[in-house]
Amino acid sequence: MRIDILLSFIVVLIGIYGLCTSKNIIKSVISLNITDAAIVLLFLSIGSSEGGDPPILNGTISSIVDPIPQALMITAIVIGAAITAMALMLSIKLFHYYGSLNWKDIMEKEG
Amino acid sequence: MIRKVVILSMLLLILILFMLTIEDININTSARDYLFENGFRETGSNNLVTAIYLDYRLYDSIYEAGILLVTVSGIIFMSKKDDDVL
Amino acid sequence: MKTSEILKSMCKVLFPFVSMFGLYVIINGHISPGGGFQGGAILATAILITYIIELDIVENLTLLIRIEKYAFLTIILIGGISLFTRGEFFTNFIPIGSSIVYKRIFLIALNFFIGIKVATGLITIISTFIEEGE
Repeated sequence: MRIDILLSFIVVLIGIYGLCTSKNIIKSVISLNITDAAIVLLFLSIGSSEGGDPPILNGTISSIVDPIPQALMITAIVIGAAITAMALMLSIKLFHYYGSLNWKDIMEKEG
Repeated sequence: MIRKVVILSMLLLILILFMLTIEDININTSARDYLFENGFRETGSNNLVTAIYLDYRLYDSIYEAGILLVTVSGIIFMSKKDDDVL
Repeated sequence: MKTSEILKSMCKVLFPFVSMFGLYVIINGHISPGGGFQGGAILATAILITYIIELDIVENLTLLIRIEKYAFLTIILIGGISLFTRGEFFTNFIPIGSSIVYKRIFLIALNFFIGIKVATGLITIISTFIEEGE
């Protein structure tokens, strides 16, 4: 049982719980960010190994951690930033149109 | 209230299934060993992460840059028109 | 909003060092930790500092969008050259048997253009949000 994988998966579940139960749009965006960061942690902890050095080859190291999850997570970080910016701009537009940031108020005004 | 209890129980079920899955986790390290042996000779980069996202998996980086471009243009489109978007 | 004099002086001192560090991270992306995406984010942070001291360095967004489009096209073209030299898309265009010094040309060029693209994209996002809030 690897305890680091388990802890980062618990943070993923906390983010999903916040996404399911929050009433404010800004809090939903924050929960989305928590889930994103926790998935990055999960992948990095799966790829790590005991006593591994960072994957920068300089001739003296003997074993490295897995560089493939790190290269994939660079993609995930940039896409997370793009999704956050898009969601915040959409919530600004919703606030200008409906005058509220609560999910229930917006659904009632939509009808 | 009952909704939160249902969601919590579902997430707990997912957590228990995940714990059973990673009980005997066994990660294949052949790709890591291949990169450690041949990565510097094939790409000329000391940094193996750069070697992966600029040489082996360049598709990833190019479409990621495309996603950033699409996001920027979408944000500017929604910002220019006041109240016409929704 | 009135900003204090100490903050303005500190930001003016900090701005050249932050932008120089971003360029260093971009250019040395193949031999040290870093690369195009991380260095571009640092460069965008350097521009974000100037918003605190109200210099208004970004005035027309269309120029930034144009730079970003051309940087993206350049990335695709540099990736596509390898179809003629190696026979497959999106890999290093230097032949596989050549020296390591020549292979680094490809890495440095692509890191540079990716850094410029990410920096201009993030600056545009920040500027749009600041304009929206006014």
